[in-house]
Amino acid sequence: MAKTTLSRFKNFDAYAKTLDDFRVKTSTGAAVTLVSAFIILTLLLGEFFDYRSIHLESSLVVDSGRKEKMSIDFDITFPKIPCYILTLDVMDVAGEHQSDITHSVYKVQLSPDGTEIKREKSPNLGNTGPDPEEVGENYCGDCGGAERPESGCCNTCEDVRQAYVRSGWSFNHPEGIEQCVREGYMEKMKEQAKQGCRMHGQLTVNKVAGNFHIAPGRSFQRSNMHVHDIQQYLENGLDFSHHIKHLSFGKLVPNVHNPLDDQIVNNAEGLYMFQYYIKVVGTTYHYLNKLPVKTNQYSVTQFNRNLHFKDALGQVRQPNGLPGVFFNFDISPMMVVQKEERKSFTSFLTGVCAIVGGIFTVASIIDGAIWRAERTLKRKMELGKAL
Amino acid sequence: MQFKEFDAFPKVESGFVKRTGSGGVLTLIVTAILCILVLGEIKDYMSLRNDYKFLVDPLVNHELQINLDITIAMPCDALSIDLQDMASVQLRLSDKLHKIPTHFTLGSSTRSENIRNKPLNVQKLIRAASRSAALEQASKNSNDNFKACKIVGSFEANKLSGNMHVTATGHGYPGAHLDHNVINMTHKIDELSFGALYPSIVNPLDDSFEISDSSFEAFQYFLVVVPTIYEDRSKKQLLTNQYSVSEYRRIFKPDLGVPGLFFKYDFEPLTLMISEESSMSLGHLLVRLAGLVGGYYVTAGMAHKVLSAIFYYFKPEQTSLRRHNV
Repeated sequence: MAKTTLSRFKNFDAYAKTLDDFRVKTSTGAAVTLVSAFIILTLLLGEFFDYRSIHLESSLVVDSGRKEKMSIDFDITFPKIPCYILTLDVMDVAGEHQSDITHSVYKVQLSPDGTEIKREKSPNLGNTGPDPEEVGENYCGDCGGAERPESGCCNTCEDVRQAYVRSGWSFNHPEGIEQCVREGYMEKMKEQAKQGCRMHGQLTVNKVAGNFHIAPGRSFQRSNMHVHDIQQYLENGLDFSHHIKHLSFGKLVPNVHNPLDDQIVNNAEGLYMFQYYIKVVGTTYHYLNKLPVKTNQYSVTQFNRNLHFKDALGQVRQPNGLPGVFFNFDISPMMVVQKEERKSFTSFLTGVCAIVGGIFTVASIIDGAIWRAERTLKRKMELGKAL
Repeated sequence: MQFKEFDAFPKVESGFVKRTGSGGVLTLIVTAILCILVLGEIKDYMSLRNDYKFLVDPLVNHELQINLDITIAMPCDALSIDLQDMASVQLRLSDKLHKIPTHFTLGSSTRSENIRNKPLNVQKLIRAASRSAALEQASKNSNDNFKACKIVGSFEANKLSGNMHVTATGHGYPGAHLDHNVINMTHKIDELSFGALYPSIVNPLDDSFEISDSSFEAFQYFLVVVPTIYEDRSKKQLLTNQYSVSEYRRIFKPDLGVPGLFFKYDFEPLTLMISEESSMSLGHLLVRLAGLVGGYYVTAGMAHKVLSAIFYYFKPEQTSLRRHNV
């Protein structure tokens, strides 16, 4: 029954088979079959790996985004500078503090051999008030003649230091200030003097040109100028050796390489100003089966200069610049779009069929030719014509 | 030797072959699959993709049209619009642009959102841009007490980096000093584009607004203009400019800065060319089709051979590709 249904399709058969009686099997044919099977297998493997591999299609477009945010991840170690000296500031292109940034920055104190001692979230750096039992309930510390804060009292050494900064004085002799003696400020300084510092964390900033820098001394804003209090470090200088373990401007995606990762600068004694000029290029990465990721790549040029020099009389000159590590970033108007692509399954199938069919057809033509040549040769040999 | 001898496709007389039902079914299936795949290939061939290329601008450029449509929440006579470029040419745009008293309203606009969310179709874009366009100008009505000013128009400027700004009279430029309480740089941008005006192209600043609470606030827009050529399949071109923008605003104490809107623009030396291209050429398509048809046909045939060999192996009584009734 089934046979009769099937046999209705007989006339459509494009694969009509030559009857066995008319088929000749030869050993050269078998050899050609084996060789072509081997070739097919190798080509199929190649085709399969090509199908599984991911191609990256990239194009460059004009970045038309607006009001975007950019996250900066960094991890920088200063082996020769204690944490209490360093401050981190984020500025916009006009040199003003950038508003509405969110940040989580940590300072880790490092012992001279590089082991971590204490981890603190910046900027709450040791600003604890004095013990009330020691000084009495109604204690109101003197600010040493400097401008008083809003509370009217300078209860900690840090308060006095800030009052000095507000008055534009330099804070050179903490040993004469009662609050600092009580807190053991000098001991703390001495204890930390040999330490290093590792700063790491994340900043989220507006995607506009600007800079962030790590520089010595508390920074403050005075009459539209960004100022660091560095008077106390001028005489002896600072060793701004640094090791950038990581610096990125967004999520990590494949094929994006951050050029500043593992950048090491050693032997920077004096008052060095390290400038990194960074050009940030927006990047959108389309994964094969995940949501696209918006991130940034960057290129960088570096430049440094020693600000520390003494004049003919051995006097230290005022530096015309700020020591520290500066990252100036600028935003490129172009954006890179990278798209992961893979061959479709149908095109893989077509490729497979083309290989199998093509090689077999070619092989059968070759086989036919060999067979005919062989036959002609045999016939001629029988006639005694050959050789 | 005859010409016939060259035939690489020796045919077998129908009497010497055997057609089977399963072979027929297979042929039908293969034909159906082939039809679908061939159609898919042709669709691929017809589909277009956008190709992004960069050229260094080969022309000597002179002037460039800038189109502007901004509404500011200040009376018209209190505003001064100026442009200053790298060649220290100063343009007093107050005379070149129309200042129309109006009310400051933030109408909802879905036009730009609609266009922004669609994938780029170069051909449609060029067709839409061929219609002539002009900036819409509301009618003047001087009786009403209008608190805002619509600044609208197009003008020619040097194709050089420059700074176009809208400031209050007497602040920044000499003139009658304006009362501080009147200054408010709340603004809405309906159109800001470089080159010929094409309403169908949406730029990043189109349909944007900023609200200011302070008299002394400056809005800075940093624009980088990238000359762009769109080219469709029939090689029809559209020359225009795109730009990317970064912006920031700052508030300052009275008289320590100039309140206003500042558009600082700069030109990229590279020209972006976006051309529509089919993903393959006609020759490539033919090669693919030949490979497809030939490959499937032969492979399916071999699969059939192998399968029927297995089938007959288990039913040996039908090992019958013998000559029955010739």
